[in-house]
Amino acid sequence: MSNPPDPNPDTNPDTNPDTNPDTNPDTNPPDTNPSDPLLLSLRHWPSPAPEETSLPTLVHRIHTQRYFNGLTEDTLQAEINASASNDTSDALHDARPTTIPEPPHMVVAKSRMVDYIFHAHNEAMIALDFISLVCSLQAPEIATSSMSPMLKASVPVGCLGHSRLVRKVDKAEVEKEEKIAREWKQQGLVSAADLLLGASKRLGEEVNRERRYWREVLEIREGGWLVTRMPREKNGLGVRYGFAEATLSGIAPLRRGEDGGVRMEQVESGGRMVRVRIMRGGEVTGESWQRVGREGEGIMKSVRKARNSIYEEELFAEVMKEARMYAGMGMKTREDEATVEVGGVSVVVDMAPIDDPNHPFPLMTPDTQLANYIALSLRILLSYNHRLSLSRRSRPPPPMTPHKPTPEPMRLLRPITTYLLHTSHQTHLSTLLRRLCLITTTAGLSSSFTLTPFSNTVGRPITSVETAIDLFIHMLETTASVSLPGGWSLTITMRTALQRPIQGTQYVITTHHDGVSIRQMGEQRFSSEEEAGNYVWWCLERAVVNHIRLMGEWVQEGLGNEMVCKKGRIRVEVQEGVGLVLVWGKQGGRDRKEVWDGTERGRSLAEVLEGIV
Amino acid sequence: MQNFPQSHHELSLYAYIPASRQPQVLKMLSGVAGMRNEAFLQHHLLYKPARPRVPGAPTDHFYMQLICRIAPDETKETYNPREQRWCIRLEDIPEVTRKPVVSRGIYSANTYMGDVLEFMETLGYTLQSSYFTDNNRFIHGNIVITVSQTSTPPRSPLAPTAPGASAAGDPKIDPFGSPFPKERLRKVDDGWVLQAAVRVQSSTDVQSVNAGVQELQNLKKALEGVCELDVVERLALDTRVR
Repeated sequence: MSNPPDPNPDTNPDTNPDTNPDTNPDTNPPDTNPSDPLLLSLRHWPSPAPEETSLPTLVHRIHTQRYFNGLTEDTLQAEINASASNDTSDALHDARPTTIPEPPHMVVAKSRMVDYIFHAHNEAMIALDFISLVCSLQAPEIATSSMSPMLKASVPVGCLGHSRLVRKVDKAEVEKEEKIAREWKQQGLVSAADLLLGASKRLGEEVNRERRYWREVLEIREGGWLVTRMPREKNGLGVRYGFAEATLSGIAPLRRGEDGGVRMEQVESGGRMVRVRIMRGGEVTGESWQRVGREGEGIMKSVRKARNSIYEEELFAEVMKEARMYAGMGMKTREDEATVEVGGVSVVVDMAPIDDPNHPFPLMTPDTQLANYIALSLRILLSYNHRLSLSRRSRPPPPMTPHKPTPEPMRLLRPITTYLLHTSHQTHLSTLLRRLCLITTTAGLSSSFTLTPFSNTVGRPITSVETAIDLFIHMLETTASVSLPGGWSLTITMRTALQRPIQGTQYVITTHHDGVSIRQMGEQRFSSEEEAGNYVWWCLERAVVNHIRLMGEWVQEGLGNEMVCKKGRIRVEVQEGVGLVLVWGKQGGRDRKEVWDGTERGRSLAEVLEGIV
Repeated sequence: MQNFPQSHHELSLYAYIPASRQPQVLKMLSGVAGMRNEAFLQHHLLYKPARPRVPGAPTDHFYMQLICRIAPDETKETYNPREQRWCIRLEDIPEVTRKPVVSRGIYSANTYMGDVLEFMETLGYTLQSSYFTDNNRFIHGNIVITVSQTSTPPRSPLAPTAPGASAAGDPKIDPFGSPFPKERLRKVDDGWVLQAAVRVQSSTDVQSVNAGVQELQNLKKALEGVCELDVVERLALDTRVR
């Protein structure tokens, strides 16, 4: 019966009689002795306790047994194999761990080493005794504590005296030693000095870099730019180059460059500006200049460039937004441009790269000038709109309701449209009135007119920037007063505004006359230039009729444009494309007519009338 | 209360600012709101019902306030309370709510012409007291931030004589108080009170109320180091007449 594997190497002789032949030589195997009780355990083999196999315990045991040094799987495997082969031969009678026999030379060396150590220890103790005896004269307590008891017993304390011995000094040696000492000291000092100098130089450079950085940052701030903390970084400074009311926030971090100078990063300066082109009949007849003003140098240049570029981008974005929303008022948009078409002129707004500053300026034509003015006013209007939104923001908001009010787009293209519309009507009106005067002059009649363009903007005092711009952007008005022959006069007020109630151009024409040749008085309102023009021609017609009436002979028939007298009948007509026409004739005869169209000076009206027989 | 056309519901938070910190706080608010502060002086007249409340009656009596802005170019001679454009305002007691804001209804009516003080008398209210507030206002989104300080006129009576005949005949007791000369105004406390308020059209509009509360919370976070915005004890803002 073989023994089960014994977890405990400390075998207990009482329980394992087989493995201990020394204690019990005449042993009987337990199962053959009938007098011994049955030593069979019916319990299952105890599993090792968790504490015994837990990792910390195992680690501790391995460490105490053999240390972890040099422990590899291969060595362990070799050991297992070796112990297995050992076990099979010695298992029964030697369970104690075998000790490795020491090689003989080691034993000898060990004993010698021990001898030497002993010897050295002895010498040291003797020396200690001697020194302490010597010292015991001066410092008895300390010395006696370090003396060995044997010495204390044999010799009284303080019996060994001593005095100083002046040895002959070897000058050369001393000098050499002093020199060496000095050299070392000097080397030490020099290296320390070098270190310190190097450190101070670096520190100085760092300080210079920081100084330069902070000076430039201060410069930026003194230039009026706002330097704030970067919202997303701790300890980061940024310069706010954008505008407070703008939709795009413009803030760029200011980092320290290699030489300490300020470097602005993350700026997409597209290098583009808003461009306005005037097109007539599909041809570009004028283009605005893409020039930038003085930019400064260094960091201020980058900041200004960033600001300019963000201004242009925002301007263009707002222009597109407005054009999309007000598509009904002659504004059109395409992917990257907005167009305003008024009176045969197309104004196209898009983005274009900045011109090369070395290029000469293009020729100045009226349309180029117009394009430049429109571009300039767009920029002014953007700033004006920023102010408006600031003042809107500064008013307490209305109480909150579920539906959010949609923000109105900025007024950028609408004032431009108003202006263009108004000028086209104005041109038409002045052409009309000039022609009227020409016609009447060639007919020998007198008439005149005065035209006051933009009369609502002239002569008003400017109290602030906002009021100055306000005058121009909502409504434009032109007044004209015409004096017609026959004592009549007209007052024409032409107003252009894009919003209600006018929504376009409105002509208000008031007539002042003696009321004889026409009943209708007062003011008439028209909303197109043709209607207004037709009315003006009609007024001229009646004015001429009145003039003829005032000449004495002729009498108006009813309220029409025919007049009779004993000489015959005449009809006064003013036809748009033709001019002033006088038709006369006799019954049964053929009509004769005289046309004054302003081209040549023929017979005057009076002469014609005289000539009628 | 339908007769008050400018009525709304107000959600607000308050903070106390000691006098020494007030200029600094104004600067920071200016930075947060992105605008200059609007400074103005207001005259407040407190009215209470002339007839005392019958104890046990179901309805409460409330104090009413008349507020007007004193234009900067007014002087001692030109300032006449009866000619000012007053706003009639009744602040309800804050409601009990779990929300971290003071929530109360405001009944307000702007007036246009006429003698409002006379009108208050005919309504059955009598003048209780008069005081002035120095205000600095900023607007941040939907929030109106007001930093104000109260002061009393030098001879302001707390228990007024009946304004009217005796006041007119007795120049010594001017119950309405005059803000001039400015130096003689007595500050009630050296510190300033900051109120951050959001107006909501109707208190039943949950979406707007939540949006308002959220805005106030964001502002509180933003002003964390500057001042401590907090709810005020509900009963401290009680405007009922006891």
